[in-house]
Amino acid sequence: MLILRVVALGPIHGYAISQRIQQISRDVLQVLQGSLYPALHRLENKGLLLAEWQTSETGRDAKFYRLTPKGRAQLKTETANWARVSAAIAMVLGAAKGEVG
Amino acid sequence: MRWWQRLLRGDRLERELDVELRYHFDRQVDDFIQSGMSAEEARRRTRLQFGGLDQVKEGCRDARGTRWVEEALTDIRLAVRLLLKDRAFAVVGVMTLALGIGANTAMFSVVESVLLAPLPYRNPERMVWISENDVGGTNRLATVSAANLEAWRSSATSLEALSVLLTGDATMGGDEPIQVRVACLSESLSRLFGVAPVVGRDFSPEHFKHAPQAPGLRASPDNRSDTGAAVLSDRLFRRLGGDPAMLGKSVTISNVQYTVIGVLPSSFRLPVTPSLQLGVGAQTDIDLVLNTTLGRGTRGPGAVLARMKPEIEIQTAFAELEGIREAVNQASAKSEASSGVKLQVISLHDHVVGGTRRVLLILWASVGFVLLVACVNIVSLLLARGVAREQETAIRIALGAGRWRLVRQMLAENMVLAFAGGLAGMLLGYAVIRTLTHASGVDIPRLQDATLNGKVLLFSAAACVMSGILLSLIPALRAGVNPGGHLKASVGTTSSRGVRHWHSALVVCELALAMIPLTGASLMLRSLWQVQSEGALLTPHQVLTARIQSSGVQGATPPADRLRQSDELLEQLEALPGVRAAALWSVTFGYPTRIAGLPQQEQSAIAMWFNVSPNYRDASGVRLLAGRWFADSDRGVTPPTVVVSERFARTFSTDFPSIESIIGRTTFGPFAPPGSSERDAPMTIIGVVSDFRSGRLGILQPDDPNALPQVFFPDVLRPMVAGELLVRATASPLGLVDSIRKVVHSRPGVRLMAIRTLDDQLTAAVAPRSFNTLLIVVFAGIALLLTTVGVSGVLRYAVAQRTHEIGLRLALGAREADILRMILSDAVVLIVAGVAIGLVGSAALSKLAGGVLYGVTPTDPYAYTAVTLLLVAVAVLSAYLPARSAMRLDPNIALRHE
Repeated sequence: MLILRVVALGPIHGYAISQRIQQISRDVLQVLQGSLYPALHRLENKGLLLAEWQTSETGRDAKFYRLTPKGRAQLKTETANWARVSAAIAMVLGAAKGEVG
Repeated sequence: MRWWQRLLRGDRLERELDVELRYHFDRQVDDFIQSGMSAEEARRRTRLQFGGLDQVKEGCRDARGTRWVEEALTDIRLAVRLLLKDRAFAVVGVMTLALGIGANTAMFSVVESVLLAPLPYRNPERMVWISENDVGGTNRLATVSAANLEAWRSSATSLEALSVLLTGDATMGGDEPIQVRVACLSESLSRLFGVAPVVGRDFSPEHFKHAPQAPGLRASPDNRSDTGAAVLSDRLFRRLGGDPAMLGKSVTISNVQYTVIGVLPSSFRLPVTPSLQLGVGAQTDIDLVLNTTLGRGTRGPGAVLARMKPEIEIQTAFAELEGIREAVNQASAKSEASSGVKLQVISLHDHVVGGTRRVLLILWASVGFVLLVACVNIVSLLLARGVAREQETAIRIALGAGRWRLVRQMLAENMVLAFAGGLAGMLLGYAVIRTLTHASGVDIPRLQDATLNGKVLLFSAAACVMSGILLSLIPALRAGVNPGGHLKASVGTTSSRGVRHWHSALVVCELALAMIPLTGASLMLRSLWQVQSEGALLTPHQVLTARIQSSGVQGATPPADRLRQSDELLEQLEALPGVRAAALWSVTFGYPTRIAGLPQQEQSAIAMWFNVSPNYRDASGVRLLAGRWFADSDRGVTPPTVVVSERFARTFSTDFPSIESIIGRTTFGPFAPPGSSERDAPMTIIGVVSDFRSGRLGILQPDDPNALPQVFFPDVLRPMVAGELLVRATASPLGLVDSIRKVVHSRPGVRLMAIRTLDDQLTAAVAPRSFNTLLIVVFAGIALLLTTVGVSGVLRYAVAQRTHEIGLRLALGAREADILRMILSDAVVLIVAGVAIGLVGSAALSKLAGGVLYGVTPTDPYAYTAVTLLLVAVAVLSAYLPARSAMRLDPNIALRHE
């Protein structure tokens, strides 16, 4: 889901994705290459991402990923789910806190 | 990209992955350097962060989702490479499998076309065969009565169409007369079979109003000889030129003209068993369909074919037909000795293939065992090979290969072997099928339709896969067991014991399996020998047989003239130098015969009545067993005298103590002698001879356990101008053919045909059984050969494993003979065990072969003993050679062997 969100902002390559996630989450989340790239490839195989080779900012060729309409829809669904789940958790915790506190 | 696209672009994806990860790696390193680290430190940190590069790659590969296919392809490629490297093993394995799978493919093709495929008619499951048989129940003795036929046709509500079916051989006249197989029907083809001629037209109802009588039957008032119509088979049509202008012309069949009105489609088959009248032919298909009418009040040899209405069951039809028949019998108030005759209604498919079902299934089972033996052989080879690769396997396990992965690889190897063998087997099977379909002397109906069609190929493929799986079972079970032990240096100590147990089990298994087809073959051989030796005629190779064809109509010449003509002909033949005796014979159809003085209910049996000239006994070589043969004084006596066959005497002998006592009894013949109008004329039995075997008589197959009793009556009662000729010569009769032919053709209106020695004819009659026996012997031979190879291979391997031990023993003073005894005794234990199990198995299974054997019980002791001795001898011999090489080992070399 996080990968999808980052890619939604525009075509981006793997290294940049990991950097950005780290940046935005203020170093809380660090995606390891071991899980990043398999995930990227799986998303690509499922048709949620589209990949093409382009020249990167350093001048070398890199594989850039882009969101497909299917991917956009998936992102929306997943974000909505996450909001719902986290709100529910917050409510439970809030209620519990009330009782405990 | 679809997954199969990803599969194909595998290489490119790998490269891209490499570039992609490398890019990330380099960027990370650069960032670290920019943030102040040294190049070395940057690289180290990045490497740590990455984890294992290859692991990441593995993860991406997994994500690709094509992994299992790629691995399978790799396995296959590896398997092929390994097989090519170990060429000897590959060749042996492939050839062994090819034998097994090829034989099975051919047999399945035969089974498919003969037993499984439906008959080529419309809705063939609705066609039934209706016959009236004697209580023995052999279909070949079927007769049909006109009264029943007419009653069924008019009153049966369960049938849609009904026709008489009279079949047999006849001569198609012309300058060069040829033998043809005809079927006579009393209903049109489209109504009965749902098949229409491709050229010309079908019979119409007009054709059956007053059609000619069937060839060989006597004309009745209902028959006319100018209304004959014939539909040719595709084969005969082509043989005669294939010109459609033939339609409308006429052909002469047994002196009656038939107008050709149509040609059958080439796919049409009407397989017929030989009728009571005439010949055993190699092909079982008809050449012509003729129209016929069964004269009122007559009973002819043949059966009734009918098509049931939709939704009707056979039992319903049977009940209805039986009811109608009873009504007819009661109405006619004739005690037709019909108490011995029962109605039978079976599906046409069962009738056509029923007789061969047992034999075919037995053959197929034998060939299945051959395949099993072949697989067992290869498994032993694989085990031996597996041991050699145990170290490699152990290293693989140490490097992290899962057990399932190893098994998959082994499976791939065996599948490659199985498919290579299967492919070769399919080619072999095709060759065998071609040979079978062109073989002569085989009486299996529809055999010529066997081909390598889709179903057969599917079966072949299935056999391949099954073999592959079978081959992998044992090695798979052993895979990965005790890898630690294998990694240690000395190969051959820990593993060999386990392998030895497996190998022993396999040898026992192989011997037991091979025993079964061997027993089958032995029983069939005994059967064949029994058939050929029983009731043997005296020196049949000195006797010439031929058919005498008369162009006149038999009824036209008065009997006295006919008698004179045949007497003259025989005299002229006997006057030829080198001829000992000549005789003429012909056969009336089967007639329910009884003996005077016995209770009515039991004692009627259908017998074949033979019309014979006086010298028949000398010419044919039947042996006189009791009483006497005809003499000149019998030629006018009343009641007339007859001689019966041994089987006749025994059929009625449950009442008599021995065959002599039948002499002097009175029996009742199927006609009225001249001067009398009774049909059931009484005749006195004066002698008993051995049964007459002839290749000409369909139902008198020498191996038919229900072969009919025979009665011989002198030709004065019904003189013949045509019939079967027998000429006994003092030496080989073939030199006399020309002179005989000249004598015969010098007489007006007579021609000679189909000249052969009696010996040849008898061989042809036994040909079907010989063929089946040959097949099974071939299969058993293959099984035996494979067993030999297997046993000796296993033993050679065992000896190789124990080389060190043998060397030790030799060095410590053992004699060569001791070594030999040691090795052999181990082998003998296995051999005895295997053969014993095989014996038990064979005895159990051979019960199923009962109906196929003649004169031999399924547990015949001679057959079993012979086979046991053979297998033990062969097995011991194949064990002897490796044992001998063991005892010749040089201890110096052996001790250093590892």
